[in-house]
Amino acid sequence: MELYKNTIFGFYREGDSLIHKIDPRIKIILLIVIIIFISFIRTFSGIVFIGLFLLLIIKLSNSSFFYILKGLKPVLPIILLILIFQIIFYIGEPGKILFQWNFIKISVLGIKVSCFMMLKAILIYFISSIFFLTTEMISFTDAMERLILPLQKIKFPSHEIVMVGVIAFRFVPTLVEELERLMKAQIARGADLDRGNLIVRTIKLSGLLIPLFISAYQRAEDLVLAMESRCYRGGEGRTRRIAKKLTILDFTSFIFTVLFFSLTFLTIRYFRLL
Amino acid sequence: MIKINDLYFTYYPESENPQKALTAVSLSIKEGEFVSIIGQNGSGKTTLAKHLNAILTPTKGSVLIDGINTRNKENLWDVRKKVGMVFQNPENQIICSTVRSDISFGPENLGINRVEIENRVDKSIELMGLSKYQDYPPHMLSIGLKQKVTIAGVLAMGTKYIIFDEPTSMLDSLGKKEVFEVILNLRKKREVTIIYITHLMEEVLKSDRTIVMSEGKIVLDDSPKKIFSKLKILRSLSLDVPIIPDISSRLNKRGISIPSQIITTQEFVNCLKQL
Ligand SMILES: Nc1ncnc2c1ncn2[C@@H]1O[C@H](COP(=O)(O)OP(=O)(O)O)[C@@H](O)[C@H]1O
Ligand SMILES: [Mg+2]
Repeated sequence: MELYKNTIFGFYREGDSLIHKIDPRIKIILLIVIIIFISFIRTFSGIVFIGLFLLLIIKLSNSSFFYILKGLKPVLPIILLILIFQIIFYIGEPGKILFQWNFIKISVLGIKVSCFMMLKAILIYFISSIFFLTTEMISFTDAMERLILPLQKIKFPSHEIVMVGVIAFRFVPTLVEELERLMKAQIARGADLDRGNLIVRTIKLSGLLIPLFISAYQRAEDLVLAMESRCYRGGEGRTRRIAKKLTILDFTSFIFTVLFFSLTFLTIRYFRLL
Repeated sequence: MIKINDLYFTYYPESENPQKALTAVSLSIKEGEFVSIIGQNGSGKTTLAKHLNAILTPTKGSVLIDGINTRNKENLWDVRKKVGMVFQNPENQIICSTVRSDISFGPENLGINRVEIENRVDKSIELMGLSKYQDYPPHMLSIGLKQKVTIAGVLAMGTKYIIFDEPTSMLDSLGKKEVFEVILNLRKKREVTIIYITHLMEEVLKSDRTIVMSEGKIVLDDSPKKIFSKLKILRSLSLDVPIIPDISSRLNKRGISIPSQIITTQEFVNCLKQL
């Protein structure tokens, strides 16, 4: 029930680690590179490589592996549910079948592929968590804006798109808190959200989504008013955070990461691990 | 000076079901005043407040902020530079992910240079007593402190007028007290003009002038003392009556005469001693 305390995704933690100091623009690019890379791996050795890389980053960012892992707790039921579905409904070359009942088949390959997907998702969760733990929202949006600003020339509303992202993220903690409140209110009225199998629980939880959305909408409307009252009018004419120049650290971290991934890629390729 | 001339406002005027919210409101507010606005739910207080910083513009009539007409779209940002607004729920007003960066949000929008922004932010943080929390993520703070953050954010913009729309009504009792205290401190400095919407009579008593609204109209506009001597009207509008005038009026009925301008407990005690 302690949703709020355990959710860390999207939260910033003050600090002055190496990772905190990397320019957010570089961090965004690297995040994208890493996520793309992760989605391309097809072997367990690839996962191990990335895993080691992530451990290094966690170390460098002064966060703790277990702290981030704990953040997964609230979504654990959902993850398990997806995993089970994937294993049961895996369609592909059957290979060795462990268990069969009607149309449900559990094959070794199915288990392998599903676990693999899950591991990849968890790696992506880890790297994005580290990103948000070490990047303040406002410098993130500033950086995003700087990166996609050139698109404004072709009338692409970059600033506004970024702002939509900010609002979404800004509401993660508030909505989690709200969801927790709604859950407690339901429990107080005798609802039994913790009982039943996974599917039943998921259905019960989805009943909370409608009030949650209504409240989110109301809040977003209020937020817009508050922003406009404080003279927000898009990026034009706004004082930016100190326009940092890229430092040696930024270049080094960029080159290091790109090098690491290229080497990993090549090694795996070479040994036909990919 | 804020000048409102014969203001009418209707929500959805074109629809089948237009909602008249303000009728013939005329009002002027001088610099340095601390004006409180009271009235039942739905009496139009928020609607009036939203006219003062051009979130809404009049259906009929005009609103002038230091002579600037809010109706004119080009004046929008000039108006908002002069009039800041603090809303009821602090949760929905905080935009950034640390206290300090949120307080900088307003001045950044104004395009002020960085050094000046940092100065202003430091000053507002100091005034609101938030120094300890400046690097906290706002969601970690108590709701009272969150409201102080939003007030600091408006102060840092350097607005001349600040409108508070029931800023303490979502807070716990300690939060209410603390937030109202910092607002009183602002008032002591007399640098900003305060327009304060509330339903708490203790708060009204501290203002210079009180406006009572009902059904979109201004029904009374006087010093809080005078207003609270008009118990009949207040009761007919189902507004709370502060405790002392209430007791006095009951005593008066039983033949113990206490002047109607007695409002505070201290005055009341002194008056009783003289009987
Ligand atoms: N967004 C809106 N749309 C339609 N009607 C509204 C809206 N906001 C307020 N009203 C109506 O305008 C009147 C005044 O409301 P409001 O200014 O919020 O009063 P108060 O702040 O004194 O409670 C009420 O009758 C209310 O129903
Ligand atoms: Mg209101």
